Amino acid sequence: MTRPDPRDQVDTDAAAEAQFVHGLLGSLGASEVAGGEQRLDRLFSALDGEEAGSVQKRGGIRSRRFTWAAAAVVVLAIGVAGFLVLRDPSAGSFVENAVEASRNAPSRRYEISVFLTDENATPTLTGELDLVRGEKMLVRAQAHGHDLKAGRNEEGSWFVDAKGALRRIDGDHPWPRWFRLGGAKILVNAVDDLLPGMGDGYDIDYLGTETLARFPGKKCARVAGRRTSSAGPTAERVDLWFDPVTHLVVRMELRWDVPSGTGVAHTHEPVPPQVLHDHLHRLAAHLHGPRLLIFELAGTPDFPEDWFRPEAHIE
Amino acid sequence: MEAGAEQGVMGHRSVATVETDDHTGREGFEILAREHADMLVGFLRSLVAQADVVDDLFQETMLAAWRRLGDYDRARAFGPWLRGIATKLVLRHRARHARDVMRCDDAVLDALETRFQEAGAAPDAFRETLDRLRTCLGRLPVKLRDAIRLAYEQGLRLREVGKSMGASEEAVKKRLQRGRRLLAECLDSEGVS
Repeated sequence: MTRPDPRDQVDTDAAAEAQFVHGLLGSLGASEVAGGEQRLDRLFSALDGEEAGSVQKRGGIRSRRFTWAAAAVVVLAIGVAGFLVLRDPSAGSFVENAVEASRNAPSRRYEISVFLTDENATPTLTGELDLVRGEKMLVRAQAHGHDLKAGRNEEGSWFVDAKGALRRIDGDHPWPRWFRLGGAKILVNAVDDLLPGMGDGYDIDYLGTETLARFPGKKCARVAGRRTSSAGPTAERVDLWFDPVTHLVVRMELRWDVPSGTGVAHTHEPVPPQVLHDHLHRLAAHLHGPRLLIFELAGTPDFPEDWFRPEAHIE
Repeated sequence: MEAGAEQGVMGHRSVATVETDDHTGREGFEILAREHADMLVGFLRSLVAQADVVDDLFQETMLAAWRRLGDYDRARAFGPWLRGIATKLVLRHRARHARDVMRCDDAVLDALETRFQEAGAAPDAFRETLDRLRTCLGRLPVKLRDAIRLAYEQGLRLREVGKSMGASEEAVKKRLQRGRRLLAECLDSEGVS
């Protein structure tokens, strides 16, 4: 047994010192990153159960700084449309073409805007998502003066922690669900990774062509999707605009229509085991008021050779 | 830093402010739970030997905190309040499973509380303490460092560490003792005691 032996620690201070260091060392264990998330998952699931029971009288807490801005979410789109159920053949063809175009697109940059309470207000979080054929990803986001940098390349996934240090993510240290960004907690993931948990999907319709302000003279095909299930964690509405020539998604809007102040009721539909569902479930369960995530194509730049290497983004 | 100097929830930039609000209580608590999770694990591990028991006590402590959130004095720091709950649960566990629990008489508990208050004046401060510990670990003599890494990072038992290092269990035990003592001294010199 590796714990301090009390027979060796007759002195109180020595015992406390040994146990203190023992406790800190226990927190440093190799499994602590993944284990920490599992521990919190277990806790939050238990809280779900307690809330469903609604038998506990309790006080509450909330962030004064940005109320629900304390839990922003960025869902990073790679295969932006792949989760839609293709029930409308004409709409479906746009989606299929977009998925194929995304696979082959050499480079894309999307601007990200997150509106947590009022979509007419200033975005709570803004950022950029750079992609190459769905293989490489770089997200840089800002909220309240804090930066988030995370990415994925041929060597794996990584992020830059709050102290500016590079943290690599591997099998023992999986992609963290939450990043701290000032007072905000930012969920970052790629839709590619999210797809398995998306459930039954959406009914989609082709709504004709529209010209977006950012793309004058370009008639973009618009497809709107509404979630098939009446309750669930995924966005209730998805709107997509496709480039008529390249077929790439030029704009994507994800909306959760939640009556202000009530949040989404906890859903008790069968819960897929995927981690993603849990992410979105938690998000949907606790956000208040309307919220909107927008991805808009900002260009197809030629990224520098080392652009997707984390070292290029550490100051 | 004096006892009680740990910043209150309103004193830390990223910590939720406590208000009575049934709709926002859950997410605020999740923020607090995330920010104090590492500290709570470290605290429990300073009292309880088995990792699985630590995990169970972590859950019990957090759930108890959630249920008692209405009793929480918002003007005070969350960390000591959480450790207070954890301590009661550890003592209750000791009554049934004494062998699981390390020394936790009042004097040791007081000394540990002081150390954790100093180490975790704010949620980020505790992580900085862990960073300092990593630095200190790197400064240890190789034999001591290897013993600690095998025991703590790999989770090996004394016998397994000894086998891996070609040393007796007694020798490993002494290396761990000395390693912990040097780490404590190093942390002390770094401003963490």
